[in-house]
Amino acid sequence: MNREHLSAHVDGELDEPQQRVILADLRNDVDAVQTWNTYHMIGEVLREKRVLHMDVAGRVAQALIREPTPLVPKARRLHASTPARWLAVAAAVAVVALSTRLLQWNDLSGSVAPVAQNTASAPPTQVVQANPALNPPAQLAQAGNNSEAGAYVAMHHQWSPLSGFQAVDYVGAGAAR
Amino acid sequence: MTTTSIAENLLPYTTPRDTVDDAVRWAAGLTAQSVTPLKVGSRMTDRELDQQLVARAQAGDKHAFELLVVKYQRKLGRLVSRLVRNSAEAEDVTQEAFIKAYRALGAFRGDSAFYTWLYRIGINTAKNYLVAQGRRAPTTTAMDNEEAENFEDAERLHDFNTPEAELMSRQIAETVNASMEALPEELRTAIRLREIEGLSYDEIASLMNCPIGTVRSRIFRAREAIAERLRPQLDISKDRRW
Repeated sequence: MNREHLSAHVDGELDEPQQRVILADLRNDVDAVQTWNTYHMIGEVLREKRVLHMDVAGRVAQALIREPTPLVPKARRLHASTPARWLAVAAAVAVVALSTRLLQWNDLSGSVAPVAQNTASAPPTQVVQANPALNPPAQLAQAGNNSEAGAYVAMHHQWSPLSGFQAVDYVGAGAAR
Repeated sequence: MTTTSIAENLLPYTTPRDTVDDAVRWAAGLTAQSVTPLKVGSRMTDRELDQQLVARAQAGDKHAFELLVVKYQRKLGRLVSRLVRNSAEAEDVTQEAFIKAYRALGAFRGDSAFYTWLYRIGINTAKNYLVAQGRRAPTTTAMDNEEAENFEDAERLHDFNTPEAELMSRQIAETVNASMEALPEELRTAIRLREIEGLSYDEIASLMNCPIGTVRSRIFRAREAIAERLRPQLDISKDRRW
């Protein structure tokens, strides 16, 4: 045990790694605890002129053996003004904005593509309205040209989180070719 | 701490000064220029040190709590001794208060200093003890006042201690004071500034015009010199836990 470090620890003047070493010493070394106690007692006498001679630490330690450990879950604190927090908020906003933009872009491309193809020649791709209210599953299945995969997609399309957006029935388009 | 008190403490031990006023002006200059703003480095306050041990205890390290017991047993004992009749009762109530504090440790959030929290538990434990004994618990708000933590009760201790405990307390105080007088000047000044004035190592280094490492060494050597004289009186044997 480094007693000079122990003395500095009593004064709160050790850095983190040295503190860890001293706390480990205090856990394992009876002499270290006694010295720590004596250093505190010296300070009390100097400040208060007298000291009450009382030593219940041993009795308390014995009693604590029978006590269950009062475990406290570690609380994670978010400090209000940390840069990491603002960075996280900015990243979340960016992700939401990008996702919305992409979905809008998908919506537009799904609507525009067949129009472009219509102007060129016969449309190889059939556009399906994904909204079940507009296009019931039965119609979707027909649009799939009896393709099993198309029927499967049509059957489950009403549960899709993207219902309300337009989608392209690529299976049906392939079959048409 | 006032500038005058710094100067008064330094006068006998440091560079000779012609007058008290010179010393006051000198200390005032240091205070204005370097002492007050020197809240730097990795220094932890007493409260932060305690909180560190509390956090360890809350994470399941009983030994960390035992260190807090070692640190505060005399202070809490003094508090309890103002309420109960004799030293045996005071020891029992103090022990009970520490155990109650340990059981309630999960609820301690660090909103107040650990000792302030422990102080309240000590007061309540002592009051409950008195009620259980059929004795009247004090109703005065003085005991509930946190200022009472600093109550000067030297005379009360004199009446309270058993003759053996009284003798021991007096011997400890005399040994510490005699050891202080025997210390070299620079060691005595360093430990006084730390323990009585509560200055940080940085502040002491500025006042004594020496590196922080020297301050740390001087305070350590002063403590060791005093502790060396105290050890025979404290009945420290190898088979004891503390």
